Parts: sequence; structure tokens; C-alpha cells
Amino acid sequence: MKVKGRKRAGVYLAKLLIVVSKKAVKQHWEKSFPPWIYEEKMPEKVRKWCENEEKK
Amino acid sequence: MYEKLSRCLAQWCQNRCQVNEEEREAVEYGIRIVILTFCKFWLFVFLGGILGYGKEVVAALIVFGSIRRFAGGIHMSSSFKCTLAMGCMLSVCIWMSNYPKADEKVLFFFWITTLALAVYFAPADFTENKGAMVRWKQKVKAICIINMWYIAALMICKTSMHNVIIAAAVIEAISLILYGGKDESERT
Repeated sequence: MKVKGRKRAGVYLAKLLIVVSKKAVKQHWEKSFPPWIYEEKMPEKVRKWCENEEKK
Repeated sequence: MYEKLSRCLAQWCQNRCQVNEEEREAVEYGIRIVILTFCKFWLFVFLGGILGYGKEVVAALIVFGSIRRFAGGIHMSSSFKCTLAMGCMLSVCIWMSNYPKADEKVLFFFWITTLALAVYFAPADFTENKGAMVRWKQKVKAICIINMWYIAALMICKTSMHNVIIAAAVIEAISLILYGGKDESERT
């Protein structure tokens, strides 16, 4: 029972972390640091992911 | 170090939830941003605490951050420059906290000025493509937050906090001027 509970807590924590990090990336992309201003380039895969999310 | 930590955390998330490779990269990058922001916040609080201005630094960061969330403002071109600019902003707030309490006339002058700048420039960010309604809502929220902080400043008796709130709000309003009115290509 304890192990199951811990596993479930881990899944919830991972989901929370995913939601928070995706939100941070989206904000980074849309609002704060778009490519024409920011010197530190966003990785290509992340940029593609942001473009796909924007299309959705 | 934080890159390694973000990679480990992203991998940990992937093991627990269904995340494809592209998403995993985005999550890793997002975790890196969150860690950096978190570190920056605690660095300033720690330095402020050492100098004996911990509360003032926290207050300045909350006031500045909450207004900036909706009003926007100028951005530095790298994370390092951003940290330096935040350091300068907090130094000004700490410096202002040592001045005598701003009287009501001064407070109302800054209140009106900050509101005027927010009405004219906010939201000074990159959401032009989001439509007029979204931008209008952002502007209204920014105005509400500014009013809330100035009312709090009116009610707070402690001189240092009173001055810190006004200073942080004014600096955020100045960052709107620095950003506003520029073309997309000029924004550096």
C-alpha cells in the first residue's frame, strides 16, 4: 500500500513539474525572450515544440 | 550543475508520465528556467539578508514581479544582464528605503505617474499577436495591481516598506517607457 501511494505521489509530482516547466517555456517563448531579443538561443527542438504548441 | 539537475528531473518525469522526446526537451528547458529563476530570487534574498534588508528585498521583488506579470516592460538580452539589472533595481529600492517616509503628496504624484504610464504603455510585451481583448485585459489587471500596491503603501506605516513599494512600482513604470513605443525590430 505504502509503495503504491508513493508511486502515485511521484506521478502527481512529475505531472506538476511537467505543467510548470511547459508553462515556463511557453512564457519564455511568447512573452519574455523571443528569438530576436535573446542572445542565449533556445534549443532547436524546444523551438519546434513551441511553434507546434502555438499552432494548436 | 543546474543543467545536469534539469536533465535528471526531466528524465525522472519521463519515467513516470507519458512524455515524447520533443516534449522531454521542452520540459528539461522549462525546469532549467524554473531553477534559474528560483536561484536568482534566493540569491537576492540572501544578499539582502546579509546586508540587513531581507524584508525590503522580498517586498520589492513581489511588487515589481506582480506588476510586471501584467504590465510587461523592457528585457535584457541575456540572463546575466537581467540579473545585473535586477540587482541595480533592488539597490535603488534599498537606497530609497533609508530616506524619510514619502508624504502623501509625493505618493499621489508617483501613483498618478505610474498609472498614466501603465494606461499608455501596458502591456509592454510581446503579445501583440494575441488580440486587442487579451491586451485590454492585461492592461486592466496591471492598473488594478498598481492601485492595490499604492493603497497598501498608503496604509503601511513602516517607512522602509512604504518607500520600497513606491520605488519598485516607479522602476517598473520606467521599464515600460524604455520598452514602449519601439518597433519590433528595435527592441533590444
